[in-house]
Amino acid sequence: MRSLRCSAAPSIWTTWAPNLSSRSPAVIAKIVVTPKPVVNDPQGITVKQGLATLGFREVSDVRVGKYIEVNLEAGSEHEARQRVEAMCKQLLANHVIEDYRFEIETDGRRR
Amino acid sequence: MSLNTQRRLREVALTPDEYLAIVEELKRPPNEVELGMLGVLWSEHCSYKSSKALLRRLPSTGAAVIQGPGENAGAVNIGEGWAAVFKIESHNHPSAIEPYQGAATGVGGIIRDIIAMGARPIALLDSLRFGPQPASSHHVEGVVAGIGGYGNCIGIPTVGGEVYFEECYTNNPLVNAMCVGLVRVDRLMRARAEGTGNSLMLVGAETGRDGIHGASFASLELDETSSERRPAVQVGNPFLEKCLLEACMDLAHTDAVVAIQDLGAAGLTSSVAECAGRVNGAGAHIDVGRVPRRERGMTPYHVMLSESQERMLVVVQRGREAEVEAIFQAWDLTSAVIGHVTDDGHLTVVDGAEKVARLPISLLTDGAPPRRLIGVAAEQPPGLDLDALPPLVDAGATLLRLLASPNLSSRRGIFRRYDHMVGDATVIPPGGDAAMLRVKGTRLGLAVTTDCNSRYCHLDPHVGAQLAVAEAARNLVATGAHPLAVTDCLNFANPDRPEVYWEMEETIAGLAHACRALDLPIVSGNVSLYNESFPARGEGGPPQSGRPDGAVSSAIYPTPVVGMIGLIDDYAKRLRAGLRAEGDFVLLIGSSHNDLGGSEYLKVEHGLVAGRPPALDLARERAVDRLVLAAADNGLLHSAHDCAEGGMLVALAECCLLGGIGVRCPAIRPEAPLRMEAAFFGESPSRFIVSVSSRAMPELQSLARRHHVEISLLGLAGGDSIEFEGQFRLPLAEIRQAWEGALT
Amino acid sequence: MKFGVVVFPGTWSDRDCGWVIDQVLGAELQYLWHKDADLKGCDCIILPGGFAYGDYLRTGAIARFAPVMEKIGEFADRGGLVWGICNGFQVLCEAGLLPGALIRNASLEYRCQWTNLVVERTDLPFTSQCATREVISIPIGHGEGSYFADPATLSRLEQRGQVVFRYCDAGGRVTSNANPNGSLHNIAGIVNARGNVLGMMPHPERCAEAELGGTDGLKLFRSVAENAMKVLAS
Repeated sequence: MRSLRCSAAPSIWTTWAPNLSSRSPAVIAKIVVTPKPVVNDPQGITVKQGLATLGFREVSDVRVGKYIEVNLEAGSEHEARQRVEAMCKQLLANHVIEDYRFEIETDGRRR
Repeated sequence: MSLNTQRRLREVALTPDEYLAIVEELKRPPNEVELGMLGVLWSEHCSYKSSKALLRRLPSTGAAVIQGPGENAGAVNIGEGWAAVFKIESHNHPSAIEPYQGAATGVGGIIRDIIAMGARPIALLDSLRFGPQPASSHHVEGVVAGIGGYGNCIGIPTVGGEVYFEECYTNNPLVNAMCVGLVRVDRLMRARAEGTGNSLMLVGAETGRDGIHGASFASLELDETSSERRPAVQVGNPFLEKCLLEACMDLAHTDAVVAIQDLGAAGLTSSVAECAGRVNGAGAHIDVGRVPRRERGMTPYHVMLSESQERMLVVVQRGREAEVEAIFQAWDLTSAVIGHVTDDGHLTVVDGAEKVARLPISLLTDGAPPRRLIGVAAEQPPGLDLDALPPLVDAGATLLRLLASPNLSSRRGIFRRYDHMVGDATVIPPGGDAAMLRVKGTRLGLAVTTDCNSRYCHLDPHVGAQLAVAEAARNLVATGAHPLAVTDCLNFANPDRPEVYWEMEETIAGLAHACRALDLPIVSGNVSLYNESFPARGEGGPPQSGRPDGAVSSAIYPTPVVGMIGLIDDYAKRLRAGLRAEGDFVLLIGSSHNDLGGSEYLKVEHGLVAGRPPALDLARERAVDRLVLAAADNGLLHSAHDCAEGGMLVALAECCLLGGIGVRCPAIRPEAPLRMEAAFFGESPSRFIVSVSSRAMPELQSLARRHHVEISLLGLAGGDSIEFEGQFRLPLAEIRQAWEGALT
Repeated sequence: MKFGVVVFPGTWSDRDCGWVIDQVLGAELQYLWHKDADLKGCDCIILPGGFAYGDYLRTGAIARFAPVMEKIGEFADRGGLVWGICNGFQVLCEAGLLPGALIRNASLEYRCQWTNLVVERTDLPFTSQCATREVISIPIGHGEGSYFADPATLSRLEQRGQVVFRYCDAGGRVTSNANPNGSLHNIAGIVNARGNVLGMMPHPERCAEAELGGTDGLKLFRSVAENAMKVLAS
């Protein structure tokens, strides 16, 4: 996995900022993007071979994806879910080759 | 001196004597920030305090030189209004700690040196040394991926370099990166902080706590609540540097900019001090509170010493800051006015209203007392009794083993991972003697190479350094280019050991000797010391461990990497190494001797690193080079290839493999005292293998006579095998398999 | 005939494409800045190679949202010629102007090398100067150029003849050994159903002059120069 950081952010970021009241609580979305099962994952195959070389012969499959952490403000968990869903659909994952799933954490608690 | 002071000195790697020199100059003790700033600028890496005296012996002037050492990079005039700007630099210790990022940021750093001169980078080369495979695979994989990751993303072709494997680099891999750029002669920039009152702008990436030496960071941490310890490893962002590059090129269209300076080792402190130090009496006033930051809780100490990548200092004419800001804004890059140029000869640092530091520029850049080290000749390496070796049995079988050996096998598996074509200028791609870039809009071709056989340097540092210069020149000549100028990266072990300092003295003397003899000025370079059993403190200073004096750990061979550029007036006349036409005469230019000391033949076939390196006669070298250049210029040659490691037969095999054409030769019957194994695999310098059409033979022969150079017919190009009648015959396919199978 | 070459931050083939258009082909050249929502009257838009926005999330993922891309989508809808090379191909797939996606090379390594391509369509404005099933030699330079599409999309592409270039050996045989990145069906380049949007991983702008090792790339530029006006007129 590699973590992502975009500096020199393109102008799209600013046009996307939702209109939020200053009282909106901070939420962390923990998003996992993985290659779809049908997509060949050479990285996963290589990691699997590496594990086998080290003696981890019980490993039957490895898929390598990405982990993305997004800090955002949201009025409710429901709203956060909707926004993150939209982020994944529009930018964070490519539906042709990738699946995604995410968790929302508020006040350090997972939901 | 209190215990506390002594502890702090250790943290910033200053000696008590150096501290006393500081107190004497300042007439007061330095505060913590000042001590940190002096510590990094007086480090070996920044101050060259152990090597400065020796480096003065190197020739640095010549008719074509526009800028010699002392700037971000050297520059030479190549004609038609163009200057070639180039430099090589080491990133050895960071690459040993984290191979990918170490190599990547090494590439990023050398690119910024070229940009700072106002030049557009057009080529990268990487000179790499590792321990034997497979133990070094982790280093090799990371370094190669890091070089590709940075160079490919930023869109500058990586066109050359070298890769060697040797036991002495097991713990200390060497990563030396070279960059070449082009700029109109009248647009060449110099990083001089001219003009009192002009603004200092920091542009590019925001500043974080990257690269502040782990030890000093932790102990000088002023914000005691922060428990985070940052690793010393810097992470590169080639995308950001690409934007920075383009923005700096856009700056060239405005005359608002006085100077550009890269932020490298020691970050803001060294870039401001160096920039001001180049102008008599100039100083600088910096407000760290105005430096854009990536993270919270940074102290002035952090800001002044941060080595965050992809940043530049720009000296801007007062009142024209907005023009510069607009250019960086267009590339979505931050820029901020952080201070101005003064005329008080001091670097003054404030944090808003608070005074942080005030030091004389000359103390920072030039104050480090030179270290007086003593050189004592190292023990003679083991001698070589050729008669005691088993005789050469089967030259063909030996050829296959040599071609499959790590130092001679094809590098295609590596260079195909580097984008070497972007820019539409690569007219000789990697894989031959030197790469060549055309200068677009002209017929000029710029040939580039790096070279060093450190085994020779180990056996005799003086001769080894000369051989490195000669070989680099020969690589350029083999493309038809006239060698023009040099950049050097001098890698050594710990100079506190007298035999290492002796190696430095000998190496530099050898370099100076060869460069003078071949009329080659050294216009830029870098010294990397302490490449010996992993120093704990990064590239900055002597290892802190109390190693008993003289204890040999895993010191590297002296490795003076020579980066060289050369020029051909019309790249249509360039030569490649591969044979071109069946029926051509294949000739050996130059003469062969029993030069088996330090050879690949000895290492691969007999497991020996012994003897004397090949004898080099610089006058002969010059004559041979001139002959080949004259023949190339007259269009007599179809191909040319330098004879190097592995000797004549390996070079011949490469000519065949690169051209896809075999060769048929009469048996080799060397005349005494030349031995059979030396005729095939000896590494006598000043030799080329060339191919010519039969029609061109008479003219080449008379040219050779005029230059007093020996040429001998090896055989005729043709077929799909290499054959020496009655000695061996090998199909090219089999040879290719050995050559290409080893390093993929 | 006016070529528009789009420049994103991180693009690097823009200057090479510009060089070929301006210096080799002698056509009119207009660079198009990613922030400009104006195609400035160009007849063919090239999305060149590079690492737009660093390709940090996914290749092309962020570039597709640049203001210039909206105009390029409209231009393509009107039948204008859009040509994505390397990173430009990745952007076109992300933008939905071409089906499928480009994933990491099977070798997991960047590859910069010459490849042979068999030209399967010569009735297109991009390839009219090539002979039927001609084998052309064009270099690649990418780490994520392995073409992927789901089976249904793939069979639709094949049925409609939308595969324009396939990696092959020197003799034109489409073999797995000739495939440098593990792409499905050895695909190196595809066109949309209408035939006006082409995406290809190889770099034709790197082989438009003999001194760079070959001139097959120039055939594609010449084809476009010859046809772009006709396409817009029709």
